[in-house]
Amino acid sequence: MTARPRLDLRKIRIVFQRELRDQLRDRRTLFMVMALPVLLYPALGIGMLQMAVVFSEKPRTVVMLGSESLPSPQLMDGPAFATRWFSDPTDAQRLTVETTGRSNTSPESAERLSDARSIRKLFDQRSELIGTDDLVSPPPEKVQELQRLNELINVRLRDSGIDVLVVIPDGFADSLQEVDRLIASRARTAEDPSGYPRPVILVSGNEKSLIASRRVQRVFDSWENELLRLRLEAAGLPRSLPSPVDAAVVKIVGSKQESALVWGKLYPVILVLMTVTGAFYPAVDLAAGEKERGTMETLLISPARRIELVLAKFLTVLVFSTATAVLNLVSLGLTATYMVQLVGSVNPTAEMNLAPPPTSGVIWILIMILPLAAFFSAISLALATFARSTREGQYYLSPLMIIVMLLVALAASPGVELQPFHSVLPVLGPILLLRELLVNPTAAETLAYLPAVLGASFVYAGLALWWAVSQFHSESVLFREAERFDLRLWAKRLWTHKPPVPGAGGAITCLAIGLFGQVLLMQPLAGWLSSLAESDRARAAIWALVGQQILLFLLPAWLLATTLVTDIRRTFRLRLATPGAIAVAAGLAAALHPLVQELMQQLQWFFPQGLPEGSQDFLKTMLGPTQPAWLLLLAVALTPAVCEEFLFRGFVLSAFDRPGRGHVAVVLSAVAFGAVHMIPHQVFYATLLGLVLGLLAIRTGSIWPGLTFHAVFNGIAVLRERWDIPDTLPAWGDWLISSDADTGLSYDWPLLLIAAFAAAALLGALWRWPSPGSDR
Amino acid sequence: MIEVHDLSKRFPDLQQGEIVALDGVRFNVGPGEVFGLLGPNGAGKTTCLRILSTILTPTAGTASIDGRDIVDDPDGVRARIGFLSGSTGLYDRMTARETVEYFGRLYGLDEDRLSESIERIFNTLSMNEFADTLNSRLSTGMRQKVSIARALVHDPPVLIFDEPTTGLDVLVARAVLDTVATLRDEGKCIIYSTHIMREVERLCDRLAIIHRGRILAAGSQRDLLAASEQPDLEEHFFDLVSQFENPVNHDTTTDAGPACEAGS
Repeated sequence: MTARPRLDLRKIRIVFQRELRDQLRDRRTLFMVMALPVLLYPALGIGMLQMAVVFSEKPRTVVMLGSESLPSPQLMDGPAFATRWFSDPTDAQRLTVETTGRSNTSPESAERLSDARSIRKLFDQRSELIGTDDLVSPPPEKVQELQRLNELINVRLRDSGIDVLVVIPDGFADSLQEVDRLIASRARTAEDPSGYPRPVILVSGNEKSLIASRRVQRVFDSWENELLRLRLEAAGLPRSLPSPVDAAVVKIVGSKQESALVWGKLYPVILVLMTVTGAFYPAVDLAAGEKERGTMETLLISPARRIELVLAKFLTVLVFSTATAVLNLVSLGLTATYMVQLVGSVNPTAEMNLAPPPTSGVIWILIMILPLAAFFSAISLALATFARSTREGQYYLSPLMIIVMLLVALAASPGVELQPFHSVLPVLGPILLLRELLVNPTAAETLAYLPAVLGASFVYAGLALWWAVSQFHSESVLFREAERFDLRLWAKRLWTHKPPVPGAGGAITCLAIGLFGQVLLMQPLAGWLSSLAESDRARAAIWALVGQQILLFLLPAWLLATTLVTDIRRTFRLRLATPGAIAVAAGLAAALHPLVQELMQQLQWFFPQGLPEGSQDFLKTMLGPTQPAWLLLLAVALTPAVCEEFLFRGFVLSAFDRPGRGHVAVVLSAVAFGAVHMIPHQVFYATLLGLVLGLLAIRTGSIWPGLTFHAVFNGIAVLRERWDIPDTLPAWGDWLISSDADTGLSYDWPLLLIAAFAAAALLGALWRWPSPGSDR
Repeated sequence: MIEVHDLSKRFPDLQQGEIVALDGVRFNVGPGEVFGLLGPNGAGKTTCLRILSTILTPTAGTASIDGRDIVDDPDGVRARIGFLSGSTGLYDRMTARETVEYFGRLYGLDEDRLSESIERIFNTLSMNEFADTLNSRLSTGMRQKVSIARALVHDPPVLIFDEPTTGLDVLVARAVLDTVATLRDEGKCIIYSTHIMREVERLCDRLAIIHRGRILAAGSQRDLLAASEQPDLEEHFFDLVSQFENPVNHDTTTDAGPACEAGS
């Protein structure tokens, strides 16, 4: 191969300009990107305004019986409650009150009043029923009767069209006056005068009636308060007597900040949705569409190289993704601003906190569009290249959208905050950062995340782009023939045309069993453990661990291999390793253990708290020195070494391994190995070790060195927990290892240095390991 | 100009193991010559031509075009060939002129040379009437003319035609054949694949009969006919294919096998 020529920017520009012009001539793209946002939000705004007009709240009907017995101060003002009893005076119009003894009542109103009277009779019956007996253990027939009355009252209320029925007892005003008189004369009576009948507010369970009843209740509350203050005045006491504390809640948030909170939730969601949509449709047209129309061949024969084609297409998609997001946000912002002004001019007291974000917020939004758009553009392009046709391409949108929406939902949940680990996750990092920046655009601790978020996002975009480029280099992807899928034929082929080693489908099946099996077993296992006596739990958990690994990792891999492939020896790399390879593996494990331990210690701040405290404690007892060493070595060192190596470095690695693409297989199997460890810091740790283990397997062509490494590595971890090594070491050992009551054993830097040199030397040796011959 | 040595292509197939699309093909083509690749559908013609135009990489064997190796210098190869197939698509949302300009610019032509080249080609192919019409509004024949113009815009020394008359009516097909003949007379090195005998008879100086990825026979038309007892090319072709499919029923002396040399 000759040296790779540099990227020809001129060709990228020519292709980019053509793709851009092509998309701009496409009516569908233009509609999605330009017309939809420009029209959608104003249309939605107008729609909402119209809805507000059409569906403005109808006044609810309150029927009041016995209004003639109302004491002063004046509760009513004509056919409504007096506005002074409402905190918002406009609320008074939302309730119409129908009372007896008014001259010009309509026929409907008269009917309602008679209904109200019959309901009152039913209610009196109900009160009588409740009042005569204790309700702690009522006889069943009484309960039945009560239920019947309740049902009857409810139905009557609903049918009569009365939302709230207020019953003022006869002589209510007189009863109050009686008390007033007592207060005025300061007389003490033997009997408490408070036993007089009180007003009743009756309401059915209907939602609208309940809202109305709450309004009525508030009216009565403020009316009652005023009554009380009048009494105090009459008694020569201060009006403030019933509210000596009266703590005031003062909300001090700038209106801008408050609107930032609203936008902080809304804008990131729209940003993500629109960058995905804006990227996906052009990407499908640019990649799958090109295949479908037969122009891909022409383009590949042109002098532009494939990487140049991908970059040009990526830039085009990026432009559309960014443009869609910007146009959507601008249109939404302008619509919202206009609506706020409109509503504000009609009703100045209405609380609306939807002012557009401040300039600094806008700048941050624009900055965060770029990593998101780059990421989604690259992913969409890769997916679209994989698709045979535009129709197939569009099928890939839903799974992408579902994953993205899950991430968005995760970001919106209150427990998820911007922290080191979250900042480097795709999609989640930018959303969380933007949310913080919209509330406080200059906070130093938030800005500190900016490089990590942008860096991680661009790394993900770069990876996705690399995937797209490799798709463009793959003959099988570029020239995939449309094939008819037949489930029966496929199943039959699976049986009759067994490949020597598993394919990606088999590996994914195996991984899915391992991953979902763990989650499914979690609940029953926990239940089983808690049913045991406390002293037996740790031992049972250890055996459960052994069983789980065999059941979920080893067994599926073995069963799938024996049924689906012909060469089990090659699949699991069962050929013997040289003693040298085993020695290198064991030495590498011993050398890497302190280094990895130290690294994880140093990175503790980065990862979120993994397990809850209780589980951590249980894990400590389970793996602590109370258990016999052989059992722990079996459960934590030997079983995982066998089960996980057979699955990940055997089945999965062989499935992904293609000639010349061994490194990709190592990375994929390491990521899979990490994924089954679930807890973020363990995922990281396992992925890291998975890379070393994969390298061991690929370089030596045998599973045994990796198995040795795994067993030694985990074995050291187990023994390190149990033995107080400094005591057994000679005096000079304390500059290698030190012991601390809090953190347990820790390695000192001279030992780390030695370990680093040893690990580097061994990895170097492994890298240059003579390539194993094929053992087919 | 075109030299092909033992070119093989195997496609991995998860279900069937491997598909051999091309098996030890060798031939060479000189300037001013039309070399015919005659074979039924699925014979490996398209695979062979795609390898020559560097879209696919060969599993084994080498090939060079105008002295450039297809694996070591694919960019150099692509700059020296014009490729046209019957299934080549056009961008619907571009005009004929824009299409040709776009590819001309990708080939690195400067604007003067580009407009000169376009004017010449559009005149020769009488395309000026629809030069500024969107491709989507063109007829099949017009579209094929645009494709030809696209393939010729950078005046390549080597031209690869992969069944260029597929789906064309008689008149347009004849125009395409005339163009190929003209190009040959201009001294271009041309490889022309087809399954239509008459096209081969009319155009090709030498040809290879290809079936199931192998060259069954190669040489000039006269040589091929002389070697067989058949009256015409079509019968000879049919004879070779059926011999290959049922070798026991036939005399094996004429079995040329994959190593059949088609040297000039």
